[in-house]
Amino acid sequence: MKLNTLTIHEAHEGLKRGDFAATDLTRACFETIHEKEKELNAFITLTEDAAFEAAEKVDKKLRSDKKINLLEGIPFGVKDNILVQGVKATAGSKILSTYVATYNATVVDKLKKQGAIILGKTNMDEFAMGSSGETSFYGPTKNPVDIDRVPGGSSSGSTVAVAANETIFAIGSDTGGSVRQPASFCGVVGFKPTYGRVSRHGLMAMASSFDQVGMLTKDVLDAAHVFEAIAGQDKMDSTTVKKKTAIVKNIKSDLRGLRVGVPKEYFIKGMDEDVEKLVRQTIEKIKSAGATIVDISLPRAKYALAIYYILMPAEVSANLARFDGVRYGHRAEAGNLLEMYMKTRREGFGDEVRRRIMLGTYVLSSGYCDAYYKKGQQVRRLIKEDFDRAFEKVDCVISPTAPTTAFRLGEKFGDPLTMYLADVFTISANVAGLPAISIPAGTVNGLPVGVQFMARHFDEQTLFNAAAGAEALLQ
Amino acid sequence: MAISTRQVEHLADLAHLDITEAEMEKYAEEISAILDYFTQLQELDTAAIEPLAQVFDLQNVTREDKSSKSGNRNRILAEAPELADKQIKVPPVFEK
Repeated sequence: MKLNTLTIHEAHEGLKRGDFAATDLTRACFETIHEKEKELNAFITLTEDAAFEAAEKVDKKLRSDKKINLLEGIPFGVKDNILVQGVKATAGSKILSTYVATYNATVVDKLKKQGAIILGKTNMDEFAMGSSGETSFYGPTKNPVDIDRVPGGSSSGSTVAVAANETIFAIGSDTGGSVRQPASFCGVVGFKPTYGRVSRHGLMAMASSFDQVGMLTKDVLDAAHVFEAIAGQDKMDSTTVKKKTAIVKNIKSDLRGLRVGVPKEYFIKGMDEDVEKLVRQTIEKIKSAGATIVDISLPRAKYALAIYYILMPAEVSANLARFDGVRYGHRAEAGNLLEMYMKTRREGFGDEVRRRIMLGTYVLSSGYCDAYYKKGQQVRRLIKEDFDRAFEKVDCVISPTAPTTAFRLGEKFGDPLTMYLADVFTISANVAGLPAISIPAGTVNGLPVGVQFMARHFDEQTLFNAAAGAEALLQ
Repeated sequence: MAISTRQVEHLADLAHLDITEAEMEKYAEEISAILDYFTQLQELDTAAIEPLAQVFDLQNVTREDKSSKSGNRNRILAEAPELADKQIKVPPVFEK
């Protein structure tokens, strides 16, 4: 049994029993990292010395027979747009190639305080803008199932690190599907909590009304454990709320009586037929296990992708204005200040980032703002209302996570709009702020396929009940 | 909805992005395709719909306006590309 393949709860039991030490667990992860990184490129920065130092501390505690927390001694990866004090944070961009984080993100603080061990910072699409992991300045990450294929994005490195057993779990961010879509492509669990559940303090802002910290894990129970560890109100993020977060002890994987909605708008033309078949089979299994399947309609959900690509770039154009070469990061040589700004941003930002900044600038500009930005926000309300209505009849919604399996590297890179369609099923959870999880449903031609569950605001409990129930059927 | 290279040039200026002529044409084409995709929204009558900016009913979250020490001034200054006497130095606003 290779230690790096364990889940959080398995590793915790092993540590408690004394089957192995925390340093053994960390070492098993780094051995795998050193063996596979050349091929996969899941990490941008490794923090090996600090990791072993932290693991030693846990071992010392274990040797003196002290109790350990669930996450104590458990290695994890951190997406590179989430700050770890004293460690480089590039967000996959050249503009931050020299930037060292000056403080810890709240989620990092919480996980460190509970004794979890940071292995390093994971690769990602530049500033989380991409659906394939290919927009990173530090090179693309490869899908461990088939290295000629993309792992999905934007949490490409976090997902691959978990899928390839380079780590026990990883944290990422999800603005339009960035933990769920790669989880689907790589065959792991990806969970995005309700907007407002987890502090984004120390997560580099991309589109603030959509951004949420998410996690990649090997099973549903692990996702619930990490969720409990990082959720909660934080005075540094005013969108967070005070709510009960105890999930694990109440997980009920019995699907009998659960009302599961199947939105007809999520089975669209252009979707891979085999993926659709697999998702439909999963729905049948859930039904056989006693869940009530309800056909529902989310009539305006089909507009989610369009409004997302209005509202998100608008927020991006504002949030990325701070990267100007003045206070941190890359600065270009120039004769005057304006030229410095222009050259720094030219040299520092990649193609996709620049495209979204310009698109966002356009939809916010005088004369177009009402037609695009305001319209987008109005339709956002209609989509949220569709979900509100659906949740009067059902407890959760099931859908495919992505319309296809992982595509080939380079296949969609030259065509932004086609690339955007990879997120067509994940985006509406961010548009409406709902909790959503992708779990592995099986494979098509050897490539993983995920199914997605969505639930009401702050009803992670139902979401985890459904996901745990489905997971048991799919194993 | 097509966007011209002139408009792209203007957008790049507004966003402080220095782009080449060839890139202007590329971005004009790509952004036009994306804007075309948005035209489907015209099917929806939203005249009476209030825009949504916050996904649940959270409003006006405030805190006491009180200063406190961050404790990481030196770390923050160490990130600046150029310092002069603990102040961040930038190129001149006007050419000499």
